[in-house]
Amino acid sequence: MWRQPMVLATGSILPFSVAARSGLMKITLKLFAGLSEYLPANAVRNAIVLEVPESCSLNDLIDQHRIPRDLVHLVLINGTSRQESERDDPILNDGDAVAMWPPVAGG
Amino acid sequence: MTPEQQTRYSRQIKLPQVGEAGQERLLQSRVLIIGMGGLGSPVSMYLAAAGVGHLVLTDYDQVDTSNLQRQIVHSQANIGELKATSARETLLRLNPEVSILALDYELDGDELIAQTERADVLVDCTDNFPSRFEHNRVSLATGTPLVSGAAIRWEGQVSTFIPKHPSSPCYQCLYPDTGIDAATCAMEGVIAPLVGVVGSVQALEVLNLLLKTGDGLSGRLLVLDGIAMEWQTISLPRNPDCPACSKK
Repeated sequence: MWRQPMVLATGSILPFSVAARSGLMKITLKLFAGLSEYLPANAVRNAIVLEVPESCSLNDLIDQHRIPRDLVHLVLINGTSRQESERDDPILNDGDAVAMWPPVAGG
Repeated sequence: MTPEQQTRYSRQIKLPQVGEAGQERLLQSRVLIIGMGGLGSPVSMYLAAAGVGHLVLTDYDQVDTSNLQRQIVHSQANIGELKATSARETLLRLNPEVSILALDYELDGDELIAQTERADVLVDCTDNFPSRFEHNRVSLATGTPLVSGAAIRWEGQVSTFIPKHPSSPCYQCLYPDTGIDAATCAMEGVIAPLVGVVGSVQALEVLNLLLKTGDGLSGRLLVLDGIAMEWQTISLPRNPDCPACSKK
C-alpha cells in the first residue's frame, strides 16, 4: 500500500521506510565549506533544523540531502568526531547538532 | 644575544615561557616551510619576525596577479618572480638577521628527506592532497613534527602531528589516502584573511613546538567557520590501522 513520505519541518523529505520505524526528534544539521550547497533553500546560513525519525542515521541525512558520501569527510555530533563505520547506526538523539565537513586541502 | 636583538625581541623575552633562553632557542632553530602561498605567507612572516633563525622556503610557482589578494608575502612588484625568491626578499626586509634558504623548485625525494631531517619543524602550506601525504610520510620517516594547515572559502583547519609522541595521530589518520580529490581555492574561492588566520595559527604552533610550551594541537584538529566565527577543536585519535603510522 502506498503511503505518503514523511515531510520534515524544513521541507526536506525522508522516505517512509525510514520515517515509519519510530517517533521524531529535532536535530540541527550544519554543512561546512563546499557541502553548504546541499542545504535546502530555507537553511539559515549553513544550518537547518530538521525533524527526523529517531532511527535516522548519519547516512540517511547525507543521502536525503543528496550529498555524495565521499564528500563527507568529518562528521561531528555535538562537537565530537564520529567514525565512518558508525554512519549507518541510529546514533542520533533529540537536540543533537550534526556538523559535516568536506576534505579541505587548500593553501 | 646582542643589545639590538634584546630590543627587537623584548616583547617575547618578557614572556616567562620564552625568556632569553627561549629566544636563543628560536634563533638557533630551523623550520622548513613548504608552499609560499596564502598559508606560507603568514607562517614565514611571523616566524621571521619572531626570530626563528633559519627558514627554508620551498615553492616552484611564480607570483601571479590572482595571488596578491591573500598571499601577502608577495607584492605587485613581484609578479612573474619565483615565489620562493619573492618571499625571501620580503622576509629579509622584515628581519635581515634571519637566514633564509629559498628553494624555487619542487622539493621531493632524498632532498626533501634531507631538508626535513635538518629541520626542527615541517610546516605544510601546500594546496593538494598528494603533497600533503608525501610530507606526512617524510615527517614519520624523519621524526620531524608536522604542522598542517588548510583553508578554502571561509573555512580552515589546523593540526600538529608529532611522530615521536606514542599516541600522536598522523595526517593520514585524519585523511585516508584514498585518492580523494579536494577543491582548490582557484575553483571555490577563498576570503583573504582566512589564510592569514590559519597560517598565523600554524606559526603559533611552530613556536609552541620550538619553545616546548606544550603539545598544542597534537591529537586535535582545529576547525574554523569564518562566517559564523565558530572555532571547534575535535579530538583526533590515532588510527591503530593507519597504513602510514601504525608501524611507527
